[in-house]
Amino acid sequence: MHTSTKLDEILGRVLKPGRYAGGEYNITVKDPAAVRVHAAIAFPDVYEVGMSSLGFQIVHHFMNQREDTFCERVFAPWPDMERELRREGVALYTLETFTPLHKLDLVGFSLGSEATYTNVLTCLDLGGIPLRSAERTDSDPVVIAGGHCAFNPEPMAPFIDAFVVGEGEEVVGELLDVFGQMKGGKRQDILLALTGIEGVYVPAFYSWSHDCEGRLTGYTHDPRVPRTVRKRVVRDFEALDYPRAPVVPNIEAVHDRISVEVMRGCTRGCRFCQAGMITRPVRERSAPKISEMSAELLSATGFDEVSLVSLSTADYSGVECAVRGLIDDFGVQGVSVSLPSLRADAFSVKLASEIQKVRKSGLTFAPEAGTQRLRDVINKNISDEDIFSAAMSAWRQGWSRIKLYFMIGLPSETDCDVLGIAELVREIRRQAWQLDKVRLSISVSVASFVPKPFTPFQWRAQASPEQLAHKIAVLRAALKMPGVKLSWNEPRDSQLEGLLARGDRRVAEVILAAWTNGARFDAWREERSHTAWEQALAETAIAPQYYTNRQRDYNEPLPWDHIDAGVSKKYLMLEDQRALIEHKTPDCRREKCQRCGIFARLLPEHAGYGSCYHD
Amino acid sequence: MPACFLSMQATEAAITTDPVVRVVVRFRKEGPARFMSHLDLVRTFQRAARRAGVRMAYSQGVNPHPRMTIAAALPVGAAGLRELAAFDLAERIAPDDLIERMNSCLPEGVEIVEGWTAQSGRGTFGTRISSDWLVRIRLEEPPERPDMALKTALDEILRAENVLVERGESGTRDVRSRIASLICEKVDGMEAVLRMTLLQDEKFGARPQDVLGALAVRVGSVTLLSLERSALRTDGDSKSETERR
Repeated sequence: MHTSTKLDEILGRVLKPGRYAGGEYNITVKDPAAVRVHAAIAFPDVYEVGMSSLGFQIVHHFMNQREDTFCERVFAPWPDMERELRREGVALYTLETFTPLHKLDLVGFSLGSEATYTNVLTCLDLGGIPLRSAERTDSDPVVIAGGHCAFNPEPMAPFIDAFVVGEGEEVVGELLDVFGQMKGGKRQDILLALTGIEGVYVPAFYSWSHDCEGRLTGYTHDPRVPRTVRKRVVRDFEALDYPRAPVVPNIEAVHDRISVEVMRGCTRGCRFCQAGMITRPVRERSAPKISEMSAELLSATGFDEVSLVSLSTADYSGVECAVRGLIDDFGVQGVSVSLPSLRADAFSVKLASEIQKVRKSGLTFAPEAGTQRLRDVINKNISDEDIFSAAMSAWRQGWSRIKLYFMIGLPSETDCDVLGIAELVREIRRQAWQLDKVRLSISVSVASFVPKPFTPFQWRAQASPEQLAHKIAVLRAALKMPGVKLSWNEPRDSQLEGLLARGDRRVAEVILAAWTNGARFDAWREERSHTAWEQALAETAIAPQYYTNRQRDYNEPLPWDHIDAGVSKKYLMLEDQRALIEHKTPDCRREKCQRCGIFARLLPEHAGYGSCYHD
Repeated sequence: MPACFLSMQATEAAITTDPVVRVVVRFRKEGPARFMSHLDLVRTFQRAARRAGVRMAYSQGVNPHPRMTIAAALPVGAAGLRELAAFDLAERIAPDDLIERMNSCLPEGVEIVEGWTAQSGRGTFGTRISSDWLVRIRLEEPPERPDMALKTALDEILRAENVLVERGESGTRDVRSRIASLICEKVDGMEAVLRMTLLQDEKFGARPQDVLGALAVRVGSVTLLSLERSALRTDGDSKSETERR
């Protein structure tokens, strides 16, 4: 525990002071003087969110595994805490030893969402670290960032010294080896040495050019660094170490449970899904391994819920075996199992019926689009019949509340497709009525589609806020049915997300200006400030439409061209063209290889195309 | 291949273990654990029991949970040196053994200091609770002689016919009868330490903040610097009766 009475007073005044107090069970504390590298991993959102992030826990664990490294934790302070820290002149500190960030050797940010970008600036500024990489001196910490957002690092490039692209487990060790050796040396030398590690991108060695109309024309790089940075992939997922004793929060977190990662990657090939493309190839852990991990983590944390996590847990080949094993081993101890992403089909219903008691609170389906045509466009390979039968079997299993997730603003979408959502809902209600004379209560949640880098839709124009507002109005009118609730997100927020997702290095100036104008916690409705962003766009004279609402040419340089995510541009183009003609692409784990390029490029010792799952 | 997604949660058939023994413990809650809410603390004990391999009895119902009671909730931020809780266990464990196992699995700031097996047939903690509080404050509008001003103000509160406080939906309460003692222990510049004994029964009780509110009316704005419950007595358990000072 800290000893500062000033901090004590601050904690007496802020909301949820447990966010800033540390002292949880399972924390790792080392003597900073006895290690080579004193670091912190920062999550640019509140404590309760960050502590629930598996990626955050993984990197924290892999850093502390090393005897020469002490890795503490830090989270973005809620605006009330930020005000208090500023007013009292207290620097943002780590939770284990209450060390101000600027006194550390290394600070690593976990970037999972564009909406946390402004919070990164808050953490740096409050931590006493110069915001821009170029302004930092040899005595400032080196600032690293990783996570899914590192696949398009450019909008944050001026603020981050080095990005880690891809999976962190192995690269963290290599990075600490190099950093530990060179620590205390010249900053430029350290950064240059880091570029020798596969998966590490140091923006300072790359520069971008534009034509007289401001269009991006390409990039050049220092001859000492690689032209493209290839993402990191862990090959032996079964043997991969994992956080064995995660920190147990003192206050309620978003997920108070253990997360056991059963599978990485996804081969369904949904064309809108960035995670499905950038986490390939698919790798699984065996069911016995899942059982072993669960036992270890349950007794290390005392949680009473196991979540089997992956992008699509029903596609994990050991799911039945793993669930049955968990229920057999831990059911009597009151441990529950949750499957946060399970397919709603006959297989899953069978799985549910094997489990004796099911908490029937609410059930979520994600048809994503309202018409078959549009689902073919996005390659969500699911039929109306699948949706109806899943809904009806769920109803028969005892769920009376159903939640449906859709996207609007998908490529080629017309008002007919939007109205298709209402049709689908009407039909589910009709069938439930026919079956049992009961009115199902249905909540419909629509998100606006935002094209993301390294997806087949990375060139597509995003629907403008005006178009999205029109679609929402159409849907609201059509969904006026008893027992049906509609929720949607604000079109302006989607526009902002699009700008940050597909922006180039110039967009960094917008982020900085918006932050200066007070933008914080952009993912949080109560804190979001549209004026801060609108002013920032005006001040920087950057037109978001250039980045969002414009169809990009296949030949046009993209701001993420220097990143190699494994799947080839050729494959993404082909998939985009197939979308145009409403042509579906099968799952390559079940049918033939679709030549996405992941194994041919990232794992060259394999026989080449088609060797991922059909050895 | 159908492919929409659902979320599902599953639990094994309800665990309805009957309690074998009830153990009452005194514990400290301080340091970083001060910032746990009452519910956070309940979860912390339940998780510690799981980590320690202590089998607790489960409640019945749709969503069974380990059975335990904490005698009196502490406000978030307050420390407690002699708090009370009761655990219903599904196995017979000697109190000393329980303390040792639990303490090795509790986070910083939560520590069980003693424990005893509850007499059978007794309720847990009863409804009458008396708390001794140590309250450190700062006077934001310091009078010329803070010590004198404080003494006068506290005397006034004790002599007052009523001390009215707003309790949200419960309306206005007169907590004067719930203030058993109130003294100023120390004055150091603008800072002061107050010691008070406050009572609570089945209807309502007085809180340290109530006293500070009454004080602020008399000496101007007061900032709470720290709050500590140094003793907690209830009418429900024989052991705690004997501990009355």
